[in-house]
Amino acid sequence: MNWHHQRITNQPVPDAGGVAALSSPICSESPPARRGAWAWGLAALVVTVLFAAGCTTSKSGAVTARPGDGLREYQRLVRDLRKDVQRTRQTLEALAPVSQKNSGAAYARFDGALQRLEVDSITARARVDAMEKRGEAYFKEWAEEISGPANEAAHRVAKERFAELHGHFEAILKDTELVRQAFGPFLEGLRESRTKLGQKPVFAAMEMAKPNFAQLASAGRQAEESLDQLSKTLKAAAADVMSGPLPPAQSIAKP
Amino acid sequence: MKHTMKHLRPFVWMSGLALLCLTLAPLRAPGQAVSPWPEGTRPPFLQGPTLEATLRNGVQASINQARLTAQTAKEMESRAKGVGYQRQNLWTDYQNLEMHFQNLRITFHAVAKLALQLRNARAANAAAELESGLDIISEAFDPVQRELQTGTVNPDTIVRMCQVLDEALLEWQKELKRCSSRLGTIR
Repeated sequence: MNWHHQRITNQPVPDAGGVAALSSPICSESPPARRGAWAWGLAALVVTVLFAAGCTTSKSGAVTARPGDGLREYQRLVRDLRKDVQRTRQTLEALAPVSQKNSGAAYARFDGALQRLEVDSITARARVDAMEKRGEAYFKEWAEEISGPANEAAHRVAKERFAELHGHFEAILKDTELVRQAFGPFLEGLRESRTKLGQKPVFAAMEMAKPNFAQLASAGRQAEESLDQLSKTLKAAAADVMSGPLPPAQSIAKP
Repeated sequence: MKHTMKHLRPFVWMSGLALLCLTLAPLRAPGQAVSPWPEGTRPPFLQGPTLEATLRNGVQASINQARLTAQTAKEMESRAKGVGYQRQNLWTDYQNLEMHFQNLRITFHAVAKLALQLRNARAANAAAELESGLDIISEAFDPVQRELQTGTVNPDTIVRMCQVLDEALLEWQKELKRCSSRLGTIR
């Protein structure tokens, strides 16, 4: 008890009158001191209860998504990937008419575009891979966004639409698979060409690689077409999600 | 009355302190994470009082590890560009880079396992995407690995691998930050 006494009496006294009484020495026999002892004990209990409450009421910190968030995010990824594929394909096509004089600069542009494509496509490719692996879990995520933590009635209304929305989901999965089939060989072919030619190829090596460049450009166009198709499907799905009945506004977290 | 109060005083103190100790003791609250790593092994990040807190620690550890790996790739790139870069240097640098990348995968794999405990598709999908992202990034090692096997290592291939890894890992850690709300680490 002496230790507590020392610790408490050594603490600075707060200015506020009511709180100042709490820091009085507890071994004193005066009535304010008795009140102080009780107050300290109670303060310890209150702090304890508050800490305990904090421990037991923790919930998952997931921010509630807005309806269509997943679709919009996927649309953005597809749009960005489409731009990168197009840019790379164009730099590849620009290699066909090059002369010995400007071949270095044209190849450097192609090399730069390929490196950008390799890096920037990671997020989109990761989404495609995860969607193929997890399938229905993505529909569940979109369903969670639509229904949210709403009341019973809103859940019922949302559930009625799920069958209709599942059709969109299946179309998205199908188009995603087509994108993977078209994009994979395009990127792999580009990488192989780049490895063969190196960073600064001689003009003769580039001349020899021209038929391969043409084939790759054609594969690039196919990849762009598949991305366009996926964009259309995503747009239709997003429009359907947003046009239907949604849960009450208070159940949807603000952005 | 005064006598009774004097007897009660230690009791009030002791019960207050006992409750405080119980609060600070590592009790398993309902929201607390179940450790995703085996008993006895060193965890890749600190376990917090709640699942949310542990996830936050894991995400932060993954961000730090991604930055460290990107930095290692950048340093290897500048060394590989040098004239006197030897094969033995390459082997040491390559192993070091691979080790950092492996640590990142282990750390994030633990985060992904924790995210499953949130029991919502959003968090699980976000974790799966980020893990797939690391699988894709690991493809950057392939050309150098192939050249190492055939014994014809081209410095340009090493530089390229390092550049792609550096940029891709920085992009990945940005994506991880963006995904924090899906992973349930921010409110």
